[in-house]
Amino acid sequence: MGLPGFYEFYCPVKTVAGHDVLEQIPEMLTTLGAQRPMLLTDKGVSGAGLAEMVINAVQEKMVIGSVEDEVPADSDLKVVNHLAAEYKTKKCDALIAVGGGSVMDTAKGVNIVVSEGADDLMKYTGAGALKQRLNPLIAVPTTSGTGSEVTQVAVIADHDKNIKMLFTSHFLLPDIAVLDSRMTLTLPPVITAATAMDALTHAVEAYTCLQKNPLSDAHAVAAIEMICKNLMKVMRNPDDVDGRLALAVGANLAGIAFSNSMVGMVHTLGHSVGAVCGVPHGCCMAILLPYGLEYNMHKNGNHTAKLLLHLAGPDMYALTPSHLRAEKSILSIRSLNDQLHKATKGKHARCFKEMFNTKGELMVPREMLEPVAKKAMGDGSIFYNPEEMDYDDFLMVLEHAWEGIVLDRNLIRKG
Amino acid sequence: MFVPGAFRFISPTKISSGIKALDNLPSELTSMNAHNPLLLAKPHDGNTGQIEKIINAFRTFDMPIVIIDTPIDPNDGSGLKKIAGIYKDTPCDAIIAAGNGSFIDAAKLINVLVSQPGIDINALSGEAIKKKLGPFVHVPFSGGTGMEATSFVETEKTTVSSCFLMPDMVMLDPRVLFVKDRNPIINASLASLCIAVEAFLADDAGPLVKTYALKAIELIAGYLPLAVKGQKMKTSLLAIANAQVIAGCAFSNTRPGIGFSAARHLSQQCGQPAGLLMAVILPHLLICKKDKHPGQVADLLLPLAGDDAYAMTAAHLKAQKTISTIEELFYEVGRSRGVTLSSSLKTAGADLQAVQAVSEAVKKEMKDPEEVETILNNAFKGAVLY
Repeated sequence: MGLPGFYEFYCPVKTVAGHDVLEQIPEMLTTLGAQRPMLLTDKGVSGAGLAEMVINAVQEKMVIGSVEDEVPADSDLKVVNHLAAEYKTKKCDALIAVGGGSVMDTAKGVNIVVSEGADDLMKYTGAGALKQRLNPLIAVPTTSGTGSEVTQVAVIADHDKNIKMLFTSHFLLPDIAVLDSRMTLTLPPVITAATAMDALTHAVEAYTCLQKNPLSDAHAVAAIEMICKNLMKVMRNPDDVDGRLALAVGANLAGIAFSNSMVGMVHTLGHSVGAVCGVPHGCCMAILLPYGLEYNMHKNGNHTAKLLLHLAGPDMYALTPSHLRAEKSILSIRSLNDQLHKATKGKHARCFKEMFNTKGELMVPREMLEPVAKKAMGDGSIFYNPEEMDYDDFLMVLEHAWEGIVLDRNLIRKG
Repeated sequence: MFVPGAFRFISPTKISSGIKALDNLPSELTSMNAHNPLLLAKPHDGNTGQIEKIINAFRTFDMPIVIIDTPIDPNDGSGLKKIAGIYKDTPCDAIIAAGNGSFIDAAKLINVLVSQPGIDINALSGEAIKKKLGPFVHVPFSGGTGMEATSFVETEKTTVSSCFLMPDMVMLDPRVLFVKDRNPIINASLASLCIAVEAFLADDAGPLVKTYALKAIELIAGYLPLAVKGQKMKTSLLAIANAQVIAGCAFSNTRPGIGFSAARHLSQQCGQPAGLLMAVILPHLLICKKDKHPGQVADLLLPLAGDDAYAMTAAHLKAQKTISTIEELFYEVGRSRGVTLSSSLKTAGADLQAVQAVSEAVKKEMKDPEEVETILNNAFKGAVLY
């Protein structure tokens, strides 16, 4: 165990977790000096009855100034500015964000505008634009998950200009993350699988990429254990409230880990597949994670080997010769993908050629791999990847991930 | 890792650790909207120029700094008010507290005074600190009590706990961690190890507490033996300083345990540092916990002994191996310094009456009074563990 020459770690978000903690939200808001929150969510969450659950829990003790469920799947600049105007009109003084990554990002964007007394988020692009605490923000994730409830990043798309903007500041961190098992109890199996693999990828990349540090490592391994011990239990029994809470906590831990140590090529490629082909983020992560570990093995195999203890348990770790533990870690992840594939009757894809949309169309046609590789060239997350990658390297990995075959490591050009 | 039905966790402290960390101090203060800090710097007996190194961070930055480098005592109300007056009159807008031990308690109390005017620090309680205090940056020196980064402040009259007392930032810079005398490191490390173990085993410990606790234990188990032998000192002292902060975060999110509470009371009576007393009590505490929560005691083997030893130890032996590993660690630490760490509270200088009185006091603070009596009686006698 070494210490990095220099590192920073920061997560001041208060975590409140349990099976019936939504009802504590009014008390949390009062402590933060708020009394009239705006509740932000999307149609999917409100259609599932989750928003109503939160509304009922809050309005017993506090008036909700406004309920807005128009957040799109891809957080949007115009929506942010519109919601900020509503916040002011309805005289709100806090935000409760109930949903997944897009709702969280939208809430963070709205919070910038309303806290700065502005009318346009675009005035706050650029480093150092935020200089003071924002209004209270409580995050209630409904997936397990993106970890957005503990990240200092918001991605907001300007669809008119066809660009995505990244806002980064520790002021964007929510004040409180509320993890209530009721919020993920009805999550469909395919989404349970995909979001858990998203969280697992966060933890694994946090542990194996270049900016790892002692505390991000600690959160990462705890997340990996939590997810690996509970994911298949929940897939077999979706009503397992303890398992659901454990997955929510695992995603939270993974979010803390990666937001303090960054991610690598799995996210670089995953962002690009998502942007070009519209594949959900968690699905991309599940498919690409084993390939990321294989590709980087000559650089960080020692870290991947240590993960076996947390991925597969002490018995498997003890029985596996030390020089084979990294391979075994990757096998464990592939095995998990296989189990999820079976548990979802084939809907959880293990490779891109298994990825179909609701109309039965292949989401990643083979001819799209080249545009995806080109797109990946512009993604900054590659800086934290242990091995360098260029267009040919991206394409090579994508081709293997498309077919679902083990990466031919002879094709890796070692930097 | 077990997830309890409900838990809460907060760690508001930003950790900045490593080479030239202090050089970022002025810009970090700026990001807290602070532009006129007050530096409270504990005069260091070793005279290794720590204060100068902190001041150097400001020489090329356009930020004035007020410096007070005289001793401050958390029990000296009028002294604390005088410094609070200087802060207000300057006016300052942040505190940098450089040092360790009760000096940091005093600095935290000054921050309370300047942030909540009119508050009575002689009758302070956790509930009285209702909101975020002014910016507070801690720059640790090596040693101390292991409590500096926690939510606790201790005076002769009382112990106050509030999450608002945790530093906004801790800057761990190897340049100010150097020590000539390694003994103070032992007490602080043992205290941090013990509070981390107790935090991990606490009934109300959620996964985040356990995560922090395990990392603190791993760092101390890995680097304390090196530090006491004078090996890899720069890295070892930095790792131990990290562990103290991390253990403090875990501890601040649970109720204090038997070892911590008893050692605090006994420390004054027998004149031994609390950390050494906690280390005497710890094995007996683990024996007691092993019977009730064998899985949790077994989990502690991982950070203490490492991945391979943990994985290779049979499941039914892990808990006992945890206890023997801790005993080995304590023996090794003592041997490196040419001493034997006390094996009982009796040989540490505590008398039976004092232990019994402390036992009665601690029982009132704990859920399981019988457990308190068993652990402290065994720790007094130095009961055989194997």
